[in-house]
Amino acid sequence: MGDVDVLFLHPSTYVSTSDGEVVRYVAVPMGTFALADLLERNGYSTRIVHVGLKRMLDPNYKVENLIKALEPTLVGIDLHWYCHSYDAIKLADCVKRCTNAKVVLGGMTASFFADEILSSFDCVDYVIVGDAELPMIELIKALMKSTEVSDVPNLVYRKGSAVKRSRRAYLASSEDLDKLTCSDLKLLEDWDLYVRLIHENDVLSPKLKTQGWLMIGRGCSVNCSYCGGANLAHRKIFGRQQPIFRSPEKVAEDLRAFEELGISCAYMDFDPYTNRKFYYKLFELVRKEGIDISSQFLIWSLTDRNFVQDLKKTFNPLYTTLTISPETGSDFVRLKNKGFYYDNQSLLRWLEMLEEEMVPAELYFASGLSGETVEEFNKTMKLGERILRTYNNVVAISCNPLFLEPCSPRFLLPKKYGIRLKFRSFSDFYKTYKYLAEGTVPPSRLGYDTEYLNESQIIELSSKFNEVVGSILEGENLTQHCA
Amino acid sequence: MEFKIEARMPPRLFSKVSLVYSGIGLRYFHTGFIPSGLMHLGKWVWRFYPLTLVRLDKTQEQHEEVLFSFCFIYQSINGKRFFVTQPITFVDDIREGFEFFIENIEDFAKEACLNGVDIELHQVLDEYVSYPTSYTCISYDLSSISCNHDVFVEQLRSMGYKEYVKVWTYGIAPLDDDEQTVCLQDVSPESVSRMFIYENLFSYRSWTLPTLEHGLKPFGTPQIAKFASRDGLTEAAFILRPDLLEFAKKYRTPIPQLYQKTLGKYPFSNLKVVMWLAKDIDTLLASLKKLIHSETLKGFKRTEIAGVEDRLEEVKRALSGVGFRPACYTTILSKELV
Repeated sequence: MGDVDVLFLHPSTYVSTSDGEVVRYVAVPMGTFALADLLERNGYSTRIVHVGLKRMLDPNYKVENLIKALEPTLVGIDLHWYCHSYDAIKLADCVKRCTNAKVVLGGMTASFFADEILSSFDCVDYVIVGDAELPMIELIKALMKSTEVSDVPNLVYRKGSAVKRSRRAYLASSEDLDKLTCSDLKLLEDWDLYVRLIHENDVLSPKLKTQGWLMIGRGCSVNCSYCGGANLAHRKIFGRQQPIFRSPEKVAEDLRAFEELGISCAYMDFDPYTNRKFYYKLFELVRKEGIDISSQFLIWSLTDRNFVQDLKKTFNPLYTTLTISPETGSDFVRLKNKGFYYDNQSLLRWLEMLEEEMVPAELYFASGLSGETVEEFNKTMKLGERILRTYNNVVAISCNPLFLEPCSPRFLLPKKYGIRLKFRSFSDFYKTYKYLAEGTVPPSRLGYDTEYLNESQIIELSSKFNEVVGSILEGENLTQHCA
Repeated sequence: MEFKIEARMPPRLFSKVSLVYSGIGLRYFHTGFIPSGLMHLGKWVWRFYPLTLVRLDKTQEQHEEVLFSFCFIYQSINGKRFFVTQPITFVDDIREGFEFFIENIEDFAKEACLNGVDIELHQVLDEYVSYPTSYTCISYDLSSISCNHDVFVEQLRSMGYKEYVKVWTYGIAPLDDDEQTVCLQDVSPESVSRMFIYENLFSYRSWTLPTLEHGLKPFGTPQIAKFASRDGLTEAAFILRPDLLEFAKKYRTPIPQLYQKTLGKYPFSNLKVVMWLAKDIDTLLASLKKLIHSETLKGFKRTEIAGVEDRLEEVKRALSGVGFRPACYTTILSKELV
């Protein structure tokens, strides 16, 4: 028996560049903290180690030494985001080479590709498909008692050479989510460094704010063409038809815990209903309890003025922003791709209102949308420029090429969305990130072409957008400077 | 008790004291990114570091924020230096951890091969001091905090710091509107700045940070620049700024300059002469009177003049003579590291 029962390892994405190795996608899924805390409260000792952070602090860091020293019974590796496909498997392999611990993967990518992962990689013993709270408790219980795991809900496992699925299913309810605590970041080693780096990828530079991701609920009500967390994906992977929320009281508790940890800004990215009834209740609680924290609130659809005013009077304005992803400057393309539609005029009126209410906005655009041509993308360029020149309260604006997300509507229905898939299986994602880690150019980075644009065009369009935006901002600084 | 310094600015700072950021990269501030930097000895260093002193209670696994300062790296006439803004304390025992904080800043400066450390401390003498309250691009509403000037000065002196400069700000409610013989002319702020740098014809001038580059001083609109002339000759020049702290407090924003539309229409009460040059004291006073009663500046209830060096006894006397009263003074203490 080792020092911990369950060791959670977070696999960062390593990319080899001419300047050496850089670590990308630092964020740990919020469920990892909830699981570690839940297991602790059920009598199992746990530890979360962020392998990427360890390597940033010490390039010679060897996770093997830690695994050998702790001798865990079970190692949980999150494979929620596809970008960790290679590094999660590499970690699993590393665990197997130095201990007898069992390895379980979880998260949306692992869930979607569970059968393929277990068929292809011996270093992975189990995948939990979908919600993992009850399954994790039952899995560690079974392993500690050396009993069968076939009854563990949502578990995909290997029996001989066959891959089997447990017959028991578990779908977390709002009540189940309320039993979780997602804010005990101290379960993560180097948590204080983590909260400084979470909103950036790989730079150990000083920052004004620290950030924590807030768990508000699960699921989605709509289907954006490119999103691997859309309603369709939640139905397919979790069996969840509609989004569920934690109670405002539990979310407020987490906000309080964040404040006590010295976290300046709560990252709030769960906005599946346009009436936002949940948030009016939450905001009232936050005000009543005097929680002093900022919020980066990601809205999925345009809001009314009431909501903006309520947000402004609730959160500390220092780092509070409203973040929106219009994705495109073409109304036609937005209609084709976004779950929540609004036209450019409505977006501009909304920004105007934000300016009047003195709330800063962050905007994100994308290239590679379905139906997007070079001409349509020019509308994105024009809209971006116009917004930047008109609204000083737009404090961030950028454009990124869309990556193919497993289980997104365009992955599942490529014809409908005018996509030619280059990635179809887990091994495609795995190989791509292996290439990147090894410093070689993968055959495909995005995983698709659209009917109008190929990969390099899609990447180039985003670069062009960011160049134009960069030069406007640079010019602005120079003008301010000389004034 | 154990202390550590974390590079971050806690939101409670803004809850405790209204502040205005008017430095480079206004847009980035809310996103938490430090907007600029500079090359120093072949290495990239950040323009400023938000430093929070934290007290750790290991037995209870708790930590408490104790004090906060911004530290700017700047190119002064005395080489590259660290400039530390007024420390803002969050605890009752203001001496606690202060030495640790300063020693760590010095160590950091030494490691970065900087020539020295300058620390800005304010002593508030009036009920209110308008923007800018600092010689940097971070201004606090000094009326809502204790600056603990004397305590920090004493502690810093014991650590080897010496007074580098003491600079006064004077304020006045409406001046007498007697007939003045100077003419005022609107000019660009750049032309005043240029005159400030290149002209030696002016015996009296405001003190500003001896920085050789942009980035550390407050900047941006709105600002007003004027030349005062007699018989066609420029006798004095001024840059004035409205009190952005009024706006920041009313609308709860640390960056008023992001909202130019509302800012342009805002009825400011206070105005500050932040930069000034004059050939003689009579011209300075005459120009100030003319300035305050000029059409463009009607509606302001109070005017301040900053940058009056302690050694300019005759200017201080003259300002007091026409009714200006000291609003605050700022002591900058320095320590050479090499």
